Amino acid sequence: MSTLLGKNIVKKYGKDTVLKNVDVEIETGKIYGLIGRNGAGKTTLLSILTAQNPATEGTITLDGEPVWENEKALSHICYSREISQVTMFGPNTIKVKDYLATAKAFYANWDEEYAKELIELFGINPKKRINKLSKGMLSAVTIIVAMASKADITILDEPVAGLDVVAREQFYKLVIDEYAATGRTFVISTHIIEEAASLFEKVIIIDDGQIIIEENTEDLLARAYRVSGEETNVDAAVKDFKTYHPESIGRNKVVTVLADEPVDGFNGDVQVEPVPLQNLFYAMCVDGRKEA
Amino acid sequence: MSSLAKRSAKYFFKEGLKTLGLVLGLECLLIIEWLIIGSDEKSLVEYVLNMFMSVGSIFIIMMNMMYSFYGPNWYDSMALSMGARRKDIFVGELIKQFTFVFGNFIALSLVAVIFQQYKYIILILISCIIAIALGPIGLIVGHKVSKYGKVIIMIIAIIGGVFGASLAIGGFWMKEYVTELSGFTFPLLIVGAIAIFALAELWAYKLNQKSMVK
Amino acid sequence: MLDNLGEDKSIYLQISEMIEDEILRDIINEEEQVPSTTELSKFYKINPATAAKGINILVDEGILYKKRGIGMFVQAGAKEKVMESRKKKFKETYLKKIISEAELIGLSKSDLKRLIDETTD
Repeated sequence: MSTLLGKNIVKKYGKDTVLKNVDVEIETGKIYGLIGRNGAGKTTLLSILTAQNPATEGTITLDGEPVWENEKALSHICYSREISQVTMFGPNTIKVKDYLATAKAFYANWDEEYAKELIELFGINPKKRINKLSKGMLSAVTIIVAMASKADITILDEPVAGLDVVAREQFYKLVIDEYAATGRTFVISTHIIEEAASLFEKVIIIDDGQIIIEENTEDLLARAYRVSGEETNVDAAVKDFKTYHPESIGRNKVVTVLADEPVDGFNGDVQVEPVPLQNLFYAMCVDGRKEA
Repeated sequence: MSSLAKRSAKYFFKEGLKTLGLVLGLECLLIIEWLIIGSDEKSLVEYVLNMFMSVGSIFIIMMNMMYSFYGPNWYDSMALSMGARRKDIFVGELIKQFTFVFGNFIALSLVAVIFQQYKYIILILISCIIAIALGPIGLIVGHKVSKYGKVIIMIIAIIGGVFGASLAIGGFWMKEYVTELSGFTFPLLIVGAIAIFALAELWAYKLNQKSMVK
Repeated sequence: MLDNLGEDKSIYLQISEMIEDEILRDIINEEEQVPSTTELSKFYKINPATAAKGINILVDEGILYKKRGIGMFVQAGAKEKVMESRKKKFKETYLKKIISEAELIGLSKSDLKRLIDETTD
């Protein structure tokens, strides 16, 4: 098993600190979910982990060797993100087939057959230019590059943005098929959390430039609870726990609890329910920064 | 040579050939236009050949600069996003530019040889030398354009326009100048070009090392 | 993922319970093969490691066993075992909820008993 390790990563753009001392560990052979609000630093973190962007401070290593400008490390990694439809010179007029040809040239393990299958599956016309693609087709091209790269560690940045529900399901199925067949590592960042939650063996939550959760998904959800009831009862029941996003309506109060370990029950007359990942994420991140 | 370096070199070589093909193709289309425009000239062949050589030489310089200008934020950025190392891209740009310029040299010189108008070869050679020297300047501007933005593009467009206009108006000013070359000016040109090339590539290398995928 | 797995319980537990249900309902019989981890993960669009966890619980409990190179099979006597373990869990998983609701709405023990008789007739 290999480890892609980021330690003490700091990223500043001028006076703006986008990543604040981030430690992250990606173990191979797992499917990771990376979730965070817009602007939390997901893309910055991913581009730093893959040496596409230099960190201001910190080290990024794959099996102990730095990733920066390192052919051996880079040959195991694919970071596929949304292709821009505009360049600063005007529209991005590269044809899909030329874009894929570039991918084929650089990814050592590129699988052309698989790429052709996926082109058909998603119904892409390879002769079309990038700036003429719909949002859905754009996402599909990102996915095709990621999957056909056959890279050991494949990172997808918001691959399902722009895909309708049928296409999204096709994508999840693709990932599972590929993971089951090859055991490739996938790191998927997404805003559409609940659908994908059951795919993620581990989940990483990033908020405002810091990693607040890096844990096995089921372990995390096993210690999360939605506690509701009469407000004094709720306050008494949760007083020794870390709570998030308390809400009240009348004298009824609801709060999300994240215990250090799973608990057997809460003291008092309160209702306790499990929390789905999306709701937990919402509760933990909603009361942070005010921006979208 | 590592396999990534090899794959990268192959890719950039092909890119050089592609741009070469595009530019030569454009020039072929222009030949048709010149045949039409020059139909009442005393010697049609000489007219078309003159135009081809002048425009072809200017194109070597202009197009090489333009493609290297597009590199950092577009094509090279794409390669960087797909696992190329920065040094692969730096070397790749050199390969691409040399392929383009040298390819043009061969193609244009071949035409000169076929029509036995060897005088044009000096013109082609000088244009190639200037093109190689100015190529990395294009890279530098390409790296900086995101910071300084559209203003630079405007300036370059204006310079390019002036260049092209003077060509059309002045006729064959370059060819006239070229036949006057004394034994002293030519080495000076070469030294100057090498100096500009070396300094510009050094700067481009530094910028390349800091480049990132936007 | 679009399917019937609920949000209220760990997915791997839902997988093992589902297989137990199938055994109880004779949808799958003793000595028959159960779907593989890969098949389950593809069908329910879940991480294969999760599906494997669900299966392994049943292996640990002696409900399933592995035939090397072929797959997972239902043990002889599995149905009995599942019934036993579910009977043990019945009080926690179902009964306590019913009693708590009954208390909330003012049904006495005898009311409850009468309702049970009425419903099961």
